[in-house]
This record gives sequence, structure tokens and C-alpha cells, in this order.
Amino acid sequence: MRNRRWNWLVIPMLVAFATIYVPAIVSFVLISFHPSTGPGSVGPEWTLGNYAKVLGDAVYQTGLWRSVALGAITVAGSLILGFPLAYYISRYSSRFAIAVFTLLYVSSLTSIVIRGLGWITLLGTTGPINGILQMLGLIQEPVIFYGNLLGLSIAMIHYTLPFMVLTLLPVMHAIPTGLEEASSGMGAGFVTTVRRVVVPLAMPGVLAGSLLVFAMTISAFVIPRLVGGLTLRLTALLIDQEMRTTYNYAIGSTLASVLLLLVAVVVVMASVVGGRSRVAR
Amino acid sequence: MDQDTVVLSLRQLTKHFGGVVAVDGIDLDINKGEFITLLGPSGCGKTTTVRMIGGYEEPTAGQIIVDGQDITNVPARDRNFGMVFQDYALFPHMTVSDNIAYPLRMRKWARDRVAGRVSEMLDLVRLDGMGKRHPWELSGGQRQRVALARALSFSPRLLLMDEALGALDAKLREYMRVEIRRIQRLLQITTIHVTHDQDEALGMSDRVVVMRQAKIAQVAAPRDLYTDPTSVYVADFVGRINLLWGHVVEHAADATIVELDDPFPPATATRIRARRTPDQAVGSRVRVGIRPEAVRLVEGGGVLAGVVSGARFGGPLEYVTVAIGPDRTLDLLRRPGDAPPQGNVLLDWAPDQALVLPAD
Ligand SMILES: Nc1ncnc2c1ncn2[C@@H]1O[C@H](COP(=O)(O)OP(=O)(O)O)[C@@H](O)[C@H]1O
Ligand SMILES: [Mg+2]
Repeated sequence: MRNRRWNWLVIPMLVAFATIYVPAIVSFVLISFHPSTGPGSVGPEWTLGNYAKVLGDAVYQTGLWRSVALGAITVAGSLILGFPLAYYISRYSSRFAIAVFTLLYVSSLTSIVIRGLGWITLLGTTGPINGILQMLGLIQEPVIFYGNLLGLSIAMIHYTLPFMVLTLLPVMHAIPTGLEEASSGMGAGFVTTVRRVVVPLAMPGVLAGSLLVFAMTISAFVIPRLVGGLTLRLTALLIDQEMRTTYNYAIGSTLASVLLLLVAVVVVMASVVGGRSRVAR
Repeated sequence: MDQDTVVLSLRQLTKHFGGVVAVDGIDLDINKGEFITLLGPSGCGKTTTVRMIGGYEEPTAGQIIVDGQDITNVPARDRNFGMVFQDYALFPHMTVSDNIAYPLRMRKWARDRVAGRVSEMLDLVRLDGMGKRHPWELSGGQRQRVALARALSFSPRLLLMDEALGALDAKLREYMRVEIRRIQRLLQITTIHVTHDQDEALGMSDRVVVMRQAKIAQVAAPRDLYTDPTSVYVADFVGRINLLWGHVVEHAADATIVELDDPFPPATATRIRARRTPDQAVGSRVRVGIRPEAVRLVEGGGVLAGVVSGARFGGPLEYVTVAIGPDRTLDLLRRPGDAPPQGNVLLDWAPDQALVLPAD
């Protein structure tokens, strides 16, 4: 639809944004430039002190790095699992593929709290995953998943996988299977065809899915809280702590602003990469 | 051209899709350097046949033999056949040059050899200077030529084309027919082409394979197919034909005599002389087929009488429709006169132009 006549259709969305989301974002960004004057209040003067504190303090730095690392690991994991899965579902309309897709879709509808608790059980030192690994003789001592990035990454990949697959699917579907046939007819093996034809053409979906998963992961709260425990102090958890435990609104807002900036930077980077690999039609 | 060396043989080639029989036991031999066309209406199994030859579809039964080797189970990528797909299947994320170079890179050609071949191919299909463009920056005809160049760049053993001209407009299609034949003759590449367009089939091919409901109806050179169809189906599909019902009365020395069944106005002779066709037994029910261009208007005598019921001017030629019975008409094609014919007319044709075809 290139017709300008339909532009008014976006007005409701713009109004909702302008009246609800934008003021919320603006208000915490503004607060981040004022000094804290005690629990629940900020002073009127302007300052960059909150940023200096947040970026200089080891706890906040570690939190940020962990959030970014978790985001990167989760993006990589959900891509590695999600790309082949989306490809399989889009190419084989078998009953099995439909069952896999349905399972994935339904699991994405399950409450996030339930999934977090489920992972605690599964990943516990006496849980089934350690049990299986020990039974197979792969490990002697139980692996500790709770309270570290390993277990949290596993849970986050599970949480974000459906979103990755659902973002990739329409892009995969839009790649004509004839291109893969043409490629094989010209002498390419399956792996070469995927690498030189499917992956480049699926790039817009890969970027969109990665952005979505990254943004979801670094702002995730429930699963990091449940699976990561209290020792793994990710930025999102620190924000909650500042806002609801110590009532340091200035620092909480500053952390939130930094996360926002981080997502914005990633979005810009992705659109630069995406712009270069863009293909018309 | 070595016309007698068989390059490709299909033996009882069959494909079932669930309960649908898409291709039903086809036998066909294709000679070296030959341009052969599979012709038939939509759904008769042309695409399935050519896809099985290319290795894109696994036959349910039968064999595909190339140069004496059974390649039925060889995957597409090892067959070394070029294919032009109906929608061209060009890679949208690659330039024209990269598309043409793709099969060469798969074959690990050296960089400068690839560059040399790509520019040769661009010359061949008259696209020099277009190498840096992307497929979506080209017209339909140009894309078609890129697809052809890509299918030919690696000197394949066989060229396959599935409705390769179908997406082009009429003028361009006619031009590309000539172009493709020029290139095909130049490279002397054995080609299997698929179309539902009879003009295209007759105009381009050394031989035409007419298909009907998953089977081969007739294989012949275009001229023979037109003048000597062996069935009503082929006669009707390839060109236009007037068809009358009748039964064989007698085989004379130079003609077969047929008694026409249709009710005709009184005083019309209903026994006509047709091309001698001794394999239709005396007494058997047949159809008599006469091409519109074989029918002439005459002043006296003639085979049938009728009343002109319409005329359609078409530039160099006009179709005249003549009512020859209560609910039966006959078309004739002629050079337009000063005015379209009117009223009662007499129709005539040479006995040899009246084909005696099995009633089916
Ligand atoms: N992948 C498929 N699955 C099921 N039926 C198919 C498939 N491909 C073709 N057919 C059926 O096989 C028959 C022949 O099809 P096709 O070879 O495409 O004919 P054509 O190219 O002559 O139009 C048709 O009845 C078609 O519906
Ligand atoms: Mg077809």
C-alpha cells in the first residue's frame, strides 16, 4: 500500500504512543539528570552525576556487561536453534512440522512464571537434566545451573525461541523454493545452498528476530529473577532494586536510560547492516 | 548435427502424486543437438516430466538414461543439466554476473576463467554492460535472457526450459523464440522445451511431443504434426480443424470414401472422398477433419453446400463461417476479397486435405 490516503490508519497508534509511552520514557530520562535527595525524591538541579556513578561503579558495570552478554548469548542460541527450525517448518508442511510448530506456539503462550519455575526444577542439581548427564557419564559432579549465566541462558533461549521462530517464519516462507532447486541444479550441495541463498535472503528476518530477542532479554526480569537468583545482578534486576527497595529513583532511571540507549544503538547498528544487505522485492 | 545419436531416453517414466497420475509411462528418445518441445494443455504432465529429467522430482517408476547411463537416481546437482524455470528463479540478492557465475563457482573455476565466461555469456544473450545490475532492475525479457545465460554458462549436457517464454508479452515472445533458436543452434545443445502454446511449439522445434492426460499422444516434426495428425486430439490441439462425423464406406485406389452422418440439406452429396487411410476398416466410425485453409468457395460443383453465417476479418486473412446443416458450421480461412461472401455458397476441398481420423 503505497497510497497516502491510508496514512491516517496509523493515527491511533501514534496517539497512544504520544500520550502514554513517550511521557513515561521522557519522565524517567529527565529524572536521570537530577540528583537523588533521599528515598523517592530528586532535586531540581541538573547533573550528569548519576551517569558517572552508574558507569563508574563496579556493581552497575558488571550488571550491564552481564545483561549484554546474556543478550548476545540468547540471540546466538535462539538463532542457532530457531533458524533450522523455522527453515524446516517452512519447507516441510508435514504433520510432524505442524506439530512442532503448534508445540512451540502453545509453549510461547504459557505463563512466564511457570516456565521460570519449570526451569528451576529441570536445572536443579538433583533435577532431570543433571540426572541424564550423569547417567550418560558426561559429568561426574552435578552441574550448577542455578544463579549463573549458564542456566539463565538456557532458560532465556527457551523463552525467546518462539519469538525468534515466529519472526523468521514469514521471511522463510517468502523465499521461493525454486531458488533452492535452481541452486542444486547448478551443482550446489545443501549446505552451500543454505549458506549462499537461504541465509542471505532470510537476513531481514534474522536481524528482526535478533533485535527482538536482544531487547526482550536485556529487559527481562521474571526469568532472571527466578533462574538467575539474587547473586546474578543484571541491570534489569538492579533497576527493580533501586526503584522498589532503596527508592533511589535517580539511579534507577539512569540505569533504565542506559538500557534504552543500548537497545537504540543495537537497532541503529542492525539497520545499517540490514540496509547493506537489503534486496528489493 | 549428428541426428542419430540418442542422448536422452525416457523409459516408462511414471510419476504419481498420491492418487494423481501426473505422468503415465512415457517412452521417448531425444537425439543429440535436437530441440524438442513438450506440448499440451495445462495439467497434462509437462512440468512433472521435465522436472523428473532435471532431477527435481523423483520418478515413481521408469528410467532416465543419458548417454547410455541410467541417471534416474542421480541428484540434480550431479546431472550437469541447465534449466530455465518458468519464473526464472534468479537469485535476487546477486547481480546478473554473479547469477551467471554461480554454477561456475560451484564447479570451482578459477576467478579469471569465470569472468571470461560471464562476459561471453552476456554477449551471447545480448546483455553486455548489464552485469552489475540486479535482477529486479531488469525487464522481463532481460531476466529471461539472464536465466538462459545462467543455464548455459557451464556448458551443460542438456538444456531444459519450462514455459520459459510464458511470462513475456506477445511481441517479445516472438523475438525470444528466434533468439533462443539462434543460441541453441550456435551451441548445438540438446534442448527440451515445455509449452502449452502451439505456435511456439511449431515455430521453434525440430520435433514436438504432444501430451494428453499424462501420456504422449504423438511425436512428430512440426510440419508432419500439422499435416498428418494421428488423432482428433492432436489435429484439434495443433491448429484449427473442422470435424465431421461419418463412417468408412470403401477404400478406393486414391481415396477413402466416407459417408457423412450429419443431417444435411436435401440435394447435398453426403458421400465424400477423403485422404486414403486404409488402417480405418470399412464400416468403422470416423471423424473427417478439414483445415479451414483447405476449404475453398467455388462457383459450381463442390463437396458441400451451405449458407454464410459470419465472417471475421483478421488482417491478411479472414475466417468465414458457413452453416452446412441445422446445427453445424464449417470454418474456412481465405484471403479477404473485396467484400465478405454472403448467402448460399458451395464449398470444395481436395480429397487429400480431408483427414480420416479415428473416432476415439
Ligand atoms: N507437487 C504436486 N503434488 C500433487 N499433484 C501435483 C504436483 N505437481 C503436479 N501435480 C499434478 O500433476 C498433474 C500434472 O501437473 P504438471 O506436470 O504441472 O502439468 P503441466 O505442466 O502440463 O501443466 C496435474 O494434475 C497436477 O495437479
Ligand atoms: Mg507446467
